[in-house]
Amino acid sequence: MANKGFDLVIKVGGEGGEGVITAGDFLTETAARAGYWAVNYKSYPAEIKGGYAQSTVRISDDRVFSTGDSFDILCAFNGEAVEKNMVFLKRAKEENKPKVLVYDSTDYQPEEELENVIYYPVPLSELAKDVMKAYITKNIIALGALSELFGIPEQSIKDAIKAKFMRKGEKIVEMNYKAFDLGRQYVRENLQKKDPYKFPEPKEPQDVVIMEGNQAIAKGSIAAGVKFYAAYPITPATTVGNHIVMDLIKRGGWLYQAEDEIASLGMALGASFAGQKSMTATSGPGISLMSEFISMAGGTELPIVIVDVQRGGPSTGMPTKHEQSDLFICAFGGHGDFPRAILATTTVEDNFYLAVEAFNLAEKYQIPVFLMTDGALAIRSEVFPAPKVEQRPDGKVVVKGNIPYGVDEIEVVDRWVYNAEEDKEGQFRSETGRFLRYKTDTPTGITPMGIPGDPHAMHAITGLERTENSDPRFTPEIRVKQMNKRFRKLQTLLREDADRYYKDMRIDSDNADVAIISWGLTASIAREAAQRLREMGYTVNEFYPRLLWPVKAEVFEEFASKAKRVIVPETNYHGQFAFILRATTNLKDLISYVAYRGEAFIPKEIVDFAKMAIEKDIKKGWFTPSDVYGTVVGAI
Amino acid sequence: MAVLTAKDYRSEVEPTWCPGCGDFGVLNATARALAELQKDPAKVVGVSGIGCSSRLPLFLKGYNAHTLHGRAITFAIGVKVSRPDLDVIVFTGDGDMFSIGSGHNPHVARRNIDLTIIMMDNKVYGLTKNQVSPTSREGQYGSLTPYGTIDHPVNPIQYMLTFGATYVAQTYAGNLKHMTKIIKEAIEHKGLSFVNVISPCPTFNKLDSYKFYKDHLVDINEELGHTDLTDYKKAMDIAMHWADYYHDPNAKAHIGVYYKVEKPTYHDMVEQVKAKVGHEESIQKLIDVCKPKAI
Ligand SMILES: Cc1ncc(C[n+]2csc(CCOP(=O)(O)OP(=O)(O)O)c2C)c(N)n1
Ligand code: SF4
Ligand SMILES: [Mg+2]
Repeated sequence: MANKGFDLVIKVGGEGGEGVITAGDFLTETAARAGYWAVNYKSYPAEIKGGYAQSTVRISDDRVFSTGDSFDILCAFNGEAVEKNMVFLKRAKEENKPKVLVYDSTDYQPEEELENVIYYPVPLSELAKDVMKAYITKNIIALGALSELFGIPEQSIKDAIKAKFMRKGEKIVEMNYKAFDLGRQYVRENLQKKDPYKFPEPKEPQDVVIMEGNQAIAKGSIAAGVKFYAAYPITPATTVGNHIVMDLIKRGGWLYQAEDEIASLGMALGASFAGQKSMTATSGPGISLMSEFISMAGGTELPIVIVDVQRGGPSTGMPTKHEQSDLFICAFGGHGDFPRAILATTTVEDNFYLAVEAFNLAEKYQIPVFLMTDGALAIRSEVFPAPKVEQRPDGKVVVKGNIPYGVDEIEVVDRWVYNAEEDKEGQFRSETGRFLRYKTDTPTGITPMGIPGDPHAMHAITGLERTENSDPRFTPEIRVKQMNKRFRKLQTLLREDADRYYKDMRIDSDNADVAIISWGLTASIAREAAQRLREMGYTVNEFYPRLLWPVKAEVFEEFASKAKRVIVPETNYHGQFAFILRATTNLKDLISYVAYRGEAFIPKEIVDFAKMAIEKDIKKGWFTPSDVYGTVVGAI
Repeated sequence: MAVLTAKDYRSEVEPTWCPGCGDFGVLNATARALAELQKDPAKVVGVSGIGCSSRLPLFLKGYNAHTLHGRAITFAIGVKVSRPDLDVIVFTGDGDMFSIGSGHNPHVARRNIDLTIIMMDNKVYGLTKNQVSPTSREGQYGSLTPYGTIDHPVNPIQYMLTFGATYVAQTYAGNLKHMTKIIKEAIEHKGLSFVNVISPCPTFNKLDSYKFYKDHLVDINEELGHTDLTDYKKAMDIAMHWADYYHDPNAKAHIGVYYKVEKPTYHDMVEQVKAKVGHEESIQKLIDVCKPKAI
């Protein structure tokens, strides 16, 4: 994996509004244009205007799925950016490779030179103001300096710059080229290269896309054929809507900005009842408000996709921070017992494909399906192989690409709609000819839906318990039959579809030193940790399920039986997935390893804990990074 | 297609309302109105919340949805916006629409969504067995206000006018003819129609009884001469002062149309936006915009 080939982490930090995020985007696109992979984790200021912003771009030969432990190069647009990253710079002395600080010497002068840190002062602000006479070119001057210092392919950056500014005219492109060249020139004339970091030669670019997490959900949903989207703005979910709205209109659909989340799910379910593929996206507080409708969707068997872009809870919590603490509400929220499914994404690429899968499960099983992702993935961008959407001659839409959880393609599923022509025997008709929307004795539990307009499938839906033809009635017999019908759908799902989401599993040994089960963003960090543990000589098994609910117990039990201990890293307090696994499988000895500080794990924290667990022969319990390092640490 | 009669719009499900409940009348009037309009039952969608009144769509043929307390409007919007070819009628109660669900009222009205909302106003919570509702008069007894409520009621007509409904009327469950006429008009109206039906609950509301309304009703169009239905100020004025029986028990209650104007519906506006944006046949193209741009 990453450690072998080229693998460089560049962080750009500074005042929001100074082009910090844009600079990161340019570096990401440059990587793609030069034939490399990139992951770009952005953090926007919490304030509406100004405040500290940063972009961490990891560029590599092989695909990597996290932004690593820390940066190699920091490009600081001001003194604040240096101060914010001082902990990392100070740590350089314990590390086996140097860190580089490229900084705006107009704004900042280091008081002391830290060990193993290489300093490159560039008067970014001065060059922008005095030479370019345009402060807004500061970030482009910085890119020029970075390009010269580290050999970032000039043509690739220039192409990225051109692509961005083309729309604004030749003059603007020229001005930015000039700023870029100025940065290069300054470095050539004033600085001596002292660090070992060197970008390799550009390669033939691959057929890739660059997407942000929430954009990938939007695009995946469009590929699945979504026609209706209702939502109420909430960080960090809002941008799913921003990204989908125009595409949706172009595809004949509509986005409705609702008055609250109760309304948005109500509307989405109305559209589903009317025959459309339908979705909503929200974050924790919205899921709380939606609970009653979630229960109704499960009870009345309406297909719906609910995207939960998680943020730090409880209550308003930490809206801009990473956390995976909504698993309980997605698995258990809503009153009564009803079937549902949860898919969780580990990368931006996952967001695209699992959005398609979420619609497939919702439409096939007529259940609410949660697509769980989080705020960090929402604004991270990734370079990944371009997905292909094909229409087969039979009309079926097929999504292909490098599907990260190991399936070859996804055939888009459309719901089973009642067709009177095909039902000559009247399987779904009562003796008096009424449509049996909720016939109880089908082997799969699934029954065809009637769509308004069809005179042969008229029926009412009601949240009340009901007969097969949907009249409210709750005798014990009817109740039990209907409940069993609904839950039979989950058994069918476990039988027919679950394995599809369990393929991202690696077994190195039948008696591994450690096994890791993880989900969501943490999985993509655990993956890197596992690789490092292997390089240290440990045997490691890994399992990153995309389906979190329902749970196919035997798959987890068998996986766990092949290791001395199983660690479940996740970023919430309870260890929510481990909790669910303990409840639904015979695995009682799982080790919960949790962080709930509002930041994702870094690979090193999982590596260090795994080593500790192996050395101290830990087999169960609940641990946090504080148990490893003795103190509460943020991004250690 | 054969000519449909009111009976053809009724489902096999028998109403479970108490004898004498005003909601029977609303059901009959709705079936009659649909029959007069010869609507295709398969293309009429009734949506309701929870309450005695909200049971109504279960007694209609066609596609119906008995949803959550207070949320009928939201579900109905989803149906209508995604399937503008359907006629969507919301059946609701005074508690359903003006208590738990009141947050949805401004938005459905200001957007002029082409729905018909029929509220059965019995001025009480029937299904939960006698609590006061937002339209209950001061002093009404409820199980949670055994001392006689000290709350002021809301005036649904005034609210829906304020929010921007383009058809606002009131009718009475004891007058099948008037009710049928109003419901028919409301269904035919393009845009958001709101019909408040005074629908007595003989079981729990002893104040707002058939007996009371027998000599407490006035027809604003026929008797009070309100004929310019596009006059918003006049409509408001009538709703507020002429016979504000919400605040004056001796004042007369209205039946009739307060307001009716033609305005572009939400759907009309959606169509304009869609025409401007255009259609994209290829999903692949929408994905490929995420590729680095060719230089
Ligand atoms: C979330 C929720 N809260 C409370 C209830 C209980 N509930 C059912 S109907 C109702 C009041 C209905 O009043 P109204 O809408 O006036 O209908 P009516 O029975 O008078 O026709 C209440 C409080 C419920 N079903 N759901
Ligand atoms: S309680 Fe009142 S509103 Fe409910 S069915 Fe009986 S009479 Fe009608
Ligand atoms: Mg009532």
